[in-house]
Amino acid sequence: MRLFLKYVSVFVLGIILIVVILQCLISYRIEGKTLTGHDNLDLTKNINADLLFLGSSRTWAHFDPIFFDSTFNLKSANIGVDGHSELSMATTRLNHYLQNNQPPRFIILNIDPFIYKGSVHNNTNFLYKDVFARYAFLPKEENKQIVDYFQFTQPEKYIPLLSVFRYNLLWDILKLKPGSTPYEKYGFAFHNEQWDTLYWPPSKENMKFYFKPAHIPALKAELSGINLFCKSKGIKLLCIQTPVYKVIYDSSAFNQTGQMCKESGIPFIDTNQESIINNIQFFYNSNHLNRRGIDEMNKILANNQMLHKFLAP
Amino acid sequence: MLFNSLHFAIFLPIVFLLYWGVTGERLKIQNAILLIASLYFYGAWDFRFLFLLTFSIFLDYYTGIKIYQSKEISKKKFWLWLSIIINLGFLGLFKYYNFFVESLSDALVLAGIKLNTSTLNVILPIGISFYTFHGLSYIIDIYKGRIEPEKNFIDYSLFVSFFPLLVAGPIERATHLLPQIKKERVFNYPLAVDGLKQILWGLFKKIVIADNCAIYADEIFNNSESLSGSTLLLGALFFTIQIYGDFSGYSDIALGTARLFGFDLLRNFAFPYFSRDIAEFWRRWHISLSTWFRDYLYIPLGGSKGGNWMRVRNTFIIFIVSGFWHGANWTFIGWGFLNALFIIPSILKKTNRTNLNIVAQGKILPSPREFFQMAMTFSLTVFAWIFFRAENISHAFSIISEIISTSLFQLPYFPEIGSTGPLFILTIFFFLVEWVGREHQHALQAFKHPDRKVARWAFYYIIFFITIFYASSASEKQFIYFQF
Repeated sequence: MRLFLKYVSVFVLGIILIVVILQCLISYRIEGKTLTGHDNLDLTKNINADLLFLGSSRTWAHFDPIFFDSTFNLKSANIGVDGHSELSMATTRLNHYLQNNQPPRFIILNIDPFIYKGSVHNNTNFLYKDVFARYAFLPKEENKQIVDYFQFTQPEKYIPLLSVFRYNLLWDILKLKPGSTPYEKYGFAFHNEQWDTLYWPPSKENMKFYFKPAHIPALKAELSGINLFCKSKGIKLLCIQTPVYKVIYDSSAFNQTGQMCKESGIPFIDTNQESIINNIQFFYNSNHLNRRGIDEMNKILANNQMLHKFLAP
Repeated sequence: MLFNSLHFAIFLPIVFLLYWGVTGERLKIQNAILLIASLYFYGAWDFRFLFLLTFSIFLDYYTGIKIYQSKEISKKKFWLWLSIIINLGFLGLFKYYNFFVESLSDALVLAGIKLNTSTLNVILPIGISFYTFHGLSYIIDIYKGRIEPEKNFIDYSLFVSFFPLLVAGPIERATHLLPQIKKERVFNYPLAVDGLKQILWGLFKKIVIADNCAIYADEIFNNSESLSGSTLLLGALFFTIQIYGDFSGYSDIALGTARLFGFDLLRNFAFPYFSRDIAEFWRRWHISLSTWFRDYLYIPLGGSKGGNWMRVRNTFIIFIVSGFWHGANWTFIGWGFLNALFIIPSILKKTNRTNLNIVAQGKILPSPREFFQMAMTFSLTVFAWIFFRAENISHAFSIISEIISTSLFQLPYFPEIGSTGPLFILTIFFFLVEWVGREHQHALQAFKHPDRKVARWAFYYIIFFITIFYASSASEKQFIYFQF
């Protein structure tokens, strides 16, 4: 019996040793790098941007830092989070950024009828949780808020390799991206492709995600809170509403966002102009612009006096 | 409680340490510990069905004693049939009632009669087919005078409810397991180590092979109407590997766990996919059920003693009953019927006991003839599994008709086919290890060279980490045979 227990213990110790060594090697390998491009927490450390883009995938895929840098003579970065239209994620991501950088001078928050309040402590949106699982094991102080936001479990935080295995990160860790695309450098993911309307026919489906009138007071309060927070840090906040394809465009809903910003004391720009929203060639799906669409939107922004005034030194 | 769950991973070491840690009246306490652990194990799934299990234990314990004590044969028969009727009655009620009602209703509709029937909304108690058969074999053996009834209620209860075999077998015999329960057990180091290896290999089979094959098999079978014959054949192959990995994996974990406690359970699988004919396959697949039907149905029906007609009749009966035992669906009956058809020629030609030895014994590779025989037998089993997996008989026929069409020659395609690469490599690895270990009780027994300890441990670590990798990235999946 003793011999049996001895060998079982040795085997288990061997497992622990291997697991710890592998986890150390993995942590060393991915430190400061990105696996998918979405996990850019390390990449946005110590960049001290002047202008920050905040919001959902419609931030992430629409705001090109290179355009803003050259047009407005600034240093900008995009920290939009794919799949997360809730304002609670925007604030969580902003907090992470501020822990690792000087506060920016400006923040552009993407706003549209798809936003919702969300909750930092009781988040219910776990889209792309797997992407952030690399930060789960023994989370650094600066990453704790994001890790808690996705509600990683205690075993995932303290058992080596568990989060790597559970969220299938091994292959991504092995093939590790070089980190040279604009997406990986600036957090901006542009899409060159055209909308495949045969596979994804235009539909009004996304309109069901519009916020409801009952949600407006809470959203206004949240926006005012973000505005106050920015003011306390000396940051100027601007909201921009980026274009959607006409099938999901309802002017009454899209006008409400402007009204909310006005009532929250936040300047607002709407880029939903007919020249863009009526042209399917500018989209890769109903609510995301492709490269041509972004260029078109940038022309509008480049000529927008309000934006020039806002971003003036 | 599932063998492939964290719950079991905590439960097993605790029971193990308690079991071997007892002193004093060792055997009694050990059996009591195992019984409590077994009831907890079963109750963790659904405690309400503990009452059914307990009733079944009481019934067979009592009727066993009554059969033995009765002097007149008529009384013996009375107690025997009372137990059989109640046992099969429960099985019929929970497992087959709805099937019979619906089949009767369908048949009457064909005859132009519409009957208002109501089916029961009942959950099938897990393992009911297995523990019912335990109890039946016990009372039949007492009636036949093969054994005396067990007086000690705890020992008898443990025989029926011993947790490694409670929910999906192997279907034990009182003649084999009860003596082990009654005998003082001392810790056996080689047996326990072998048990751990068997558990490891069983988990690998279930979590890595079966659960991954299940993803693709389900995808293909659930969308069969839009897929080519070659893809459907691939789906049948996935299911063929899935069901073996799932059920033999379960059996390996069960046998390995029992070994940790000093028990040697009946072997359930002996590398059936390396069989050279269907008769050999059935000597190697779900052995405890096949031998149960042989001993308690085939032989009482006359076995092979009569003429060809009797042999054919008895073969069809046991295969169809065996199919029906798996579940209340015509697909299982179809599967049993098909296997009977496959085996009949060898029974008539009396070649069904040709391949009693292990294929390519003592050799590295099989001869071309053996390889061809194995490939043919494997193909027949793949074909039969289509019925087992299909939703209904017409689904099975639609899959088969597509497989035998010209679309068989198209390249297989389904949306997830690009992700099958790792599974393909792991399946080759799995069959290689099984081939190497085919002369042993389980595959990892072949890896015991005393001078290659480091290599062996490295091999175990690789299997362990692959298993943990897949276990962590997927939810715990139930074993297929739990539903039977």
